[in-house]
Amino acid sequence: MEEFDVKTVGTAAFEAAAAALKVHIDKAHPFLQAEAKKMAETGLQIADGYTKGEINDAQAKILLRMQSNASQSVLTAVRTIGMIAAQDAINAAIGVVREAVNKAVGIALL
Amino acid sequence: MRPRNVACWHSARFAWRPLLAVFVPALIAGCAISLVAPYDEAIDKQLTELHLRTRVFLAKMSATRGAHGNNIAFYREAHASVAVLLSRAKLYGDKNKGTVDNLNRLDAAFTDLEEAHRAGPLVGPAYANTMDVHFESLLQIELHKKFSSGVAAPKT
Repeated sequence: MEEFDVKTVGTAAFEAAAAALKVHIDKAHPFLQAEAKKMAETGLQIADGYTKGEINDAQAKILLRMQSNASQSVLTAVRTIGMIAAQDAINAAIGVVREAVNKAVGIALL
Repeated sequence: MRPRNVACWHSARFAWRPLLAVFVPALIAGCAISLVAPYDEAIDKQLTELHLRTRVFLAKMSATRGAHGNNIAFYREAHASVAVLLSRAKLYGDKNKGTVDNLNRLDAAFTDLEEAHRAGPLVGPAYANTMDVHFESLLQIELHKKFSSGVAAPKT
């Protein structure tokens, strides 16, 4: 049976997990930034529309409620993306360990 | 004499081998974990279509100052589309909670939009931008599911 170096496999598993996490973090960051900017811009559009008389009192209140609801959607998306990232990180680490075990025993055991 | 901690490490390195053959397969075989529902192309496509219809409708309303009474059909169809999306999303159970929660918020957003329309014409970009946030949040989740399943993003 081949050598199974716990430290090497552990490092490789960590690196695989970190790489899997990074894929999601790199893509979630601009999304969060863009949505935060859009929410701020929409706040300005509501104020501007109200001043111009395009948006009435009732509509302004509804729009603010819609903004609050939309911001909760963004938070839910970020939380779900975090779960997907965690799932991929764990599976990447398991993949590395599986490969190392198979190599150590010399057959595709797992 | 070998230091105690090295001896322990040395014996530990060999002690795991018999355990490896018995326990590791049980631990790892088939243990790729799944915390979130898989990517669903139908949800992705239907969301994009509903987003387009919403954007076109709001652009038309802003330009024409269309009255709510003449556009009730849009809201009925939008709620029906969200209901179909919810039915599909719920097939995956608790693992699709994020998508289901955001689809419920999208449905509430259409209700709010209709209430705003009853209060007056939908003029200006604020309505479309607010609806965009809902669609983008839902599509972002699908996009990450797609990356997760190893499917390449479509080339545009």
